[in-house]
Amino acid sequence: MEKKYWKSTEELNNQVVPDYNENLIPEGKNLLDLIDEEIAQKPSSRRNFLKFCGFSFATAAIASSCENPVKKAIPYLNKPEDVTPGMASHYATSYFDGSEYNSILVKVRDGRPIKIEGNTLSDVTKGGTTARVQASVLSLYDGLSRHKSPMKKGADTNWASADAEISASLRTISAAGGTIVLLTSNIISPATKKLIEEFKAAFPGVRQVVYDPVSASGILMANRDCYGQAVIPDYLFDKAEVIASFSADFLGTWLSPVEYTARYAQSRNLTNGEKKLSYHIQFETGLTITGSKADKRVPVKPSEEAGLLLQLYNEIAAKAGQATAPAGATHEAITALAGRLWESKGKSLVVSGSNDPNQQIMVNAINQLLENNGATIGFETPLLTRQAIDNEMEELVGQMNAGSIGELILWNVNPVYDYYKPEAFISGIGKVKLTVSFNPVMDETQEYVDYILPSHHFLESWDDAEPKRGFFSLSQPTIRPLFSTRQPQESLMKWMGKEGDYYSYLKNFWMTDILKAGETEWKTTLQGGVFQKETPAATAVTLNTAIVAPAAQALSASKKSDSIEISLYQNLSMGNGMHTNNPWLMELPDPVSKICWDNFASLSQETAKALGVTAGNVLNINGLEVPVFLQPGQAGGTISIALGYGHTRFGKVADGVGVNVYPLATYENGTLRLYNAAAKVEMTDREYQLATTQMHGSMEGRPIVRETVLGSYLESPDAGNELHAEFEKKHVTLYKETEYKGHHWAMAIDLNACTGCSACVIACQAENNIPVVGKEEVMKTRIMHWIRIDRYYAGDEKNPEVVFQPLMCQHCDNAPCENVCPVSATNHSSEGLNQMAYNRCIGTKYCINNCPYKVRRFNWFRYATNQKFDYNMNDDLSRMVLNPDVTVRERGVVEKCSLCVQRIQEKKLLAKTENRPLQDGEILPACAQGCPSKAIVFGDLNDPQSRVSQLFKDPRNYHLLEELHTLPKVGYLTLVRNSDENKA
Amino acid sequence: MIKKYIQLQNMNPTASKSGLRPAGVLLAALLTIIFFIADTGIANAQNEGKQLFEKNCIVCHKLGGGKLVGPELLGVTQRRDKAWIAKFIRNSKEMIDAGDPVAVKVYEENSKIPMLTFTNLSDAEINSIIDYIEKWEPEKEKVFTVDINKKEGFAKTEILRGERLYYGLIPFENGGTKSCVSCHNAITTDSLNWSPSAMDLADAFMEKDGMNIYKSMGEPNSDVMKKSHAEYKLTDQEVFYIAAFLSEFHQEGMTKHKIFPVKLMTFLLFALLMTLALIDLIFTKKIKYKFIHLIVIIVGLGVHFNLAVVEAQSLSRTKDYAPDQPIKFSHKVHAGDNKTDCKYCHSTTEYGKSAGIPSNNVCLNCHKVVLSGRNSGKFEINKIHRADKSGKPIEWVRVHNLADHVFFSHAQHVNAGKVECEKCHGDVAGMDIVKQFSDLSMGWCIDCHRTTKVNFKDNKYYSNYLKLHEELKSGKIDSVTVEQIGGLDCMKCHY
Repeated sequence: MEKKYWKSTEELNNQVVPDYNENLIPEGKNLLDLIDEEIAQKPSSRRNFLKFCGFSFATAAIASSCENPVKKAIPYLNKPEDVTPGMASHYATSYFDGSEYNSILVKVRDGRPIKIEGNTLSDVTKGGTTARVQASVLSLYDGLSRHKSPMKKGADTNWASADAEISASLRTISAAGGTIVLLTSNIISPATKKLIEEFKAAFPGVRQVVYDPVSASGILMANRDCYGQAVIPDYLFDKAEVIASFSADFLGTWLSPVEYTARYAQSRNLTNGEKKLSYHIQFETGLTITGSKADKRVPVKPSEEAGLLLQLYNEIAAKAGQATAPAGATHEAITALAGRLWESKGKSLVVSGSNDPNQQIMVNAINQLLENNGATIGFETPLLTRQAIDNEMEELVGQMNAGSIGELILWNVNPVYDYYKPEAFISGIGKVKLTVSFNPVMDETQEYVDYILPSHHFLESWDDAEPKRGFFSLSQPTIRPLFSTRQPQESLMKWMGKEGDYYSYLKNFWMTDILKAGETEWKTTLQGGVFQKETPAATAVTLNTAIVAPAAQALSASKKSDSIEISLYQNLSMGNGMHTNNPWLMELPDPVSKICWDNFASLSQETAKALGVTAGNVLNINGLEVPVFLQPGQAGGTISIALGYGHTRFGKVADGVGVNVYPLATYENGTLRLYNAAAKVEMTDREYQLATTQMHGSMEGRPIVRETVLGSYLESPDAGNELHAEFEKKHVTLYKETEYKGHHWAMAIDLNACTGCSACVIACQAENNIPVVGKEEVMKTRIMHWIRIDRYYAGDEKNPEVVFQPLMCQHCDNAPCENVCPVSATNHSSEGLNQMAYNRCIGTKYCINNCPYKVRRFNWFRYATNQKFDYNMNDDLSRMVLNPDVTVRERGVVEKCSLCVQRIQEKKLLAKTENRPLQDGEILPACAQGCPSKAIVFGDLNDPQSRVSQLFKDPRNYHLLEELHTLPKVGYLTLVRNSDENKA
Repeated sequence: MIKKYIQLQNMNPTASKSGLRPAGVLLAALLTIIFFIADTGIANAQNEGKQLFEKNCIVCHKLGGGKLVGPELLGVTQRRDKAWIAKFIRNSKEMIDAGDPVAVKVYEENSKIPMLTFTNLSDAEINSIIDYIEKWEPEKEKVFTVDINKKEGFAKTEILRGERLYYGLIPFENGGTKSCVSCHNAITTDSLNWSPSAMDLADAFMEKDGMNIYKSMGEPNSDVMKKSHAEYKLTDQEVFYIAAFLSEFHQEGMTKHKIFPVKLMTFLLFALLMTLALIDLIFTKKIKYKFIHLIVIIVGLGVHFNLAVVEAQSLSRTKDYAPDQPIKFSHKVHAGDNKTDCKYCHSTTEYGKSAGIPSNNVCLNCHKVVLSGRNSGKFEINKIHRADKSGKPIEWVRVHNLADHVFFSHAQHVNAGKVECEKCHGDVAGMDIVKQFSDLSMGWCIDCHRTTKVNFKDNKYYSNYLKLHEELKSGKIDSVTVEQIGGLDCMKCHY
């Protein structure tokens, strides 16, 4: 309990946080002087006063004779049977953006998709989602950056003439023996793959190159060499008792985070009497959410990883009695880890996020020694979402520059932005005879292409997916195409002269090749969205041991660097930069740095000192100007910068925000490394302000986060939470206690399961019509999110422990906000909800002042109609995404989490009309629904059997600031770490 | 008789789709349809065959115009033996059961919908029907003396002449006491007028393939119109002028009926009085007694204040609102006289938030067959068919408008709460024009929630409310009101 938590370095060192509003008032003056001066300057007079009087009389006169507007009710001409006005339908479909897969349900209200939810039928994503998946519905209504019709050299054209010209040129190029390249992102659609094969057959000379700016080439190449199959195996984090990760951010952005998060949460689960906790150690450069969750985190420079892997291999090989490789580093954490791993042989897992095939070969060798293959690593159902091999792209750019490519078709790729040598690609594309882009939105590459044939948004498309071998899923349109767009598959079919549309092709393909069944099976599969073939029996893989020694040799020879190393990473919101134009994601604070609307150079305090810079300065890194941020836990001598920012031609939100750091990536040994040790880092005299939500509502060192270590927890389950029982005893009141005669809603959040992934934040934003306010307003602490992820640091600043805590309205049964409201706009419902009547609110903000949790938000502006907040809520098309069941709040009112009361009411009504009791777990607030680790549980406290009642009785349960007798109805379960000490 | 209706119901392919509940409703609706046709379908009976055909056959068969429910009958006497036809009309079912190959074929060709039996008809009657079918010929096109296809580009004089005829400024050649405008109003009104307005007529006339005004003036196509137009025998030229007027009217649009702004005038009058009083008080000083000024000002302020308060209270409250609808649809005829269940048309009431305005195809379920109404003849019903053809849905005017920040669910009240429609909507079955019955104010909602008892024991949902059940058992309370289960919570309706 002596642990000191801190939210920022300023807080830790008792520094004054600069108030950016301070300089508004000049020195030597107070606010009243200013107001007086302002009034003196205004030409106010008796005349003006009379004018106002006259005006108010006139308004009264007009009001007394005004009429109510005539509202129309226009029914369908022929009502479709499956549409009921005002009621939502859900369609199962699949999300795949080229790297991330998610099986989803799309909530469609009156023909408009408004919310994305996880599909629980899927065995891959199991109903979990990520922030990017949740936000993807907004990009459907992006009327500005989506193309509305096909274009030829910047001018509108029509499909027929574009088709005629392109297919003619395809035929000539193909007949002349030229090369036609389909440059695609990863394609996981079996039907599309088949179609591409047919396309290749129809036009000899067609070649497909898969390009992924953040690829998994390293793993694919290593596995090809080690096991003879270039696949990504299934990592079973749930079966691992010891997890060692070398810069693999598997909870955030690495390969298949939704799947891994669910599995990881399972291995960290202590509810239901579970006593086992996996041990997780993370070696990484910048602080990621995976590193934050780790029991032990070791900050390392990217160049050190090779040595650490060698050391680990050697120590384990020694234990296994096998030949060792050349010596690597001598890190004590590795020695301890080797011991732990060896103890849990067959129940451990070592992963690496490196793109160096040699490092991946070492990881394979280590896992082989630990007998993990077949236990925690499965090769039966490998992940298929990453297929790109970096050197294919390298080769292609060479050929383009040599002028040997006749036609280039770009499919869901944007190399001018995300290729590490954009000039090479641009000069190459100039030498290609004909270029076509299928991208649905404008991007940097399209400036150089001849034809833009925009594809549908994925919510308008038919498609299928096989994210893992044997796991299939379907995509179906949830709305008619908004613009004159067409699926790329259909374009290929047109050019080949194939009859029919892609839908019939897909359906036919499924009925003959996948389902091998008729119409009925097709329909039921489409309804559920997923189809799973029987898992093939486990096949033993054998490691080709001959390649381990050369790999180790190469690693030991790799040069150690003393210079400052740049590490490039994907953050949770932007990923590889495909979604940067999405305002929801743009304003999603990074859970660790709590910064939104920018990327930045993360430096440790020491490195900054060595460079002579501090927060707010701007660094010049190889000519790119990046603002400095002091990140606790950042490895010394390193700078981490997020990818995905710095677009120049991508849309109103993305353009000009942050810096594009793809050019800093390096190409080495056949793969692209998101790493640069040779960058020139210089200080500039520029200053830059980052928008951070970090200091919002600091908790002033009170026992907000309670945590313990496994050893203490096993001794007494209420370890670290002794205060709870103490405070519970003190809850006495003079007043008559309120009785909740029906339901008593409550929510429990397991801090062990929460990874800080922020899917809940965007899910809540989508469900509750929460506006985006822009960088300037965020800097004024006016961000509107109803749920936020609070992040606390504890301990050593160089390598702090990190805790994430989702925080929304606590729905206190003795709420301090309620009794200060002069108009009773916020009060308590008979079901224990702290309710907010917007129409009653007059905006005194007393409640905000009195809320100890700082979860109430004030609407400073009319965001939905204000052109100054141009973030996809202010025009007719993008307003379609709004949830009609939730009020769009007016200017001047206070708002906050309602525990998704609209969902509560909906399910209650459903139960009533079906004449049955409400089931536990039937009501899912948006945050709980979207959570990949199922950390959030919602239910009825009056039902003793409900999960939330059980969790509230758990000795780990506590409430925030419970000493204030606010009686919150949100409970948190203490965080238990499997710490090395295992004794607090 | 009952059996017949059941068979009839089966003939309607859309009816079986609508689920079980509306079946009874449909039966009732069809019952009225039959009487309707039986009563009104008989056109000037010149011969028995025509009369009988129109009474018994026209519901399912057409003469020249293709298949309806049953097959096209034109030329049937050439295709089949007359005796066979007679036998089939009398009892087709027997023939099918007996395995008559032609009968079975006909039965199967027509989606296995059996034809009604007509054992009540005599042989002579059946033969007269067959005769009528045999001799039937399509009506000859009437020759008009004017260009009946002209819809635009009329001369100014033609329009003016039409206008005068329409407004009755000049009499019709062949007599007629009242002018067109007496029935077909040319300004919006708030009173009930079953006849189509001038705008309606102009719309119908101007529409592509719209109303043939010459034909319908020559031979009125419904009983209602026949009766009202009995004394009008307009010449083609006169109709032409009126057509010219309608064409012009279509462009200009309807003049709005002006309501004298009583409140505004009162407001201004007192404002004026107060100003005068003030001027006199300060400058002119004509009236000696200052208390007169004072009284004027006090009364004036009082009136203004009262106006402001009353207006503010009723701001956006629209009790008794009864707007004109695009179709002169009468709930009295449908829900009152014909006893159509509310939920037949407002079909989403029980499971949706909104009760649902019936889509065009729901109207057509009945009005495919019922082509003429008792109040407005064919004109209003035709609008449904016109909408169907043009693909443009009918834009009804919303009567009950709840503020956007209020959540209201019909399913909750009608299905879960078992509240009768009339409780909130009043006696809609007695309204020709629907008007807003309740003021839909929050006070009105709350009052009802305070007093209404919940169906607590029967609905299994409430088994979650353990404490209230205990109180009921112990006799502490005898019933549970909506208020007790949180009916007054803000978040019941506002979120």
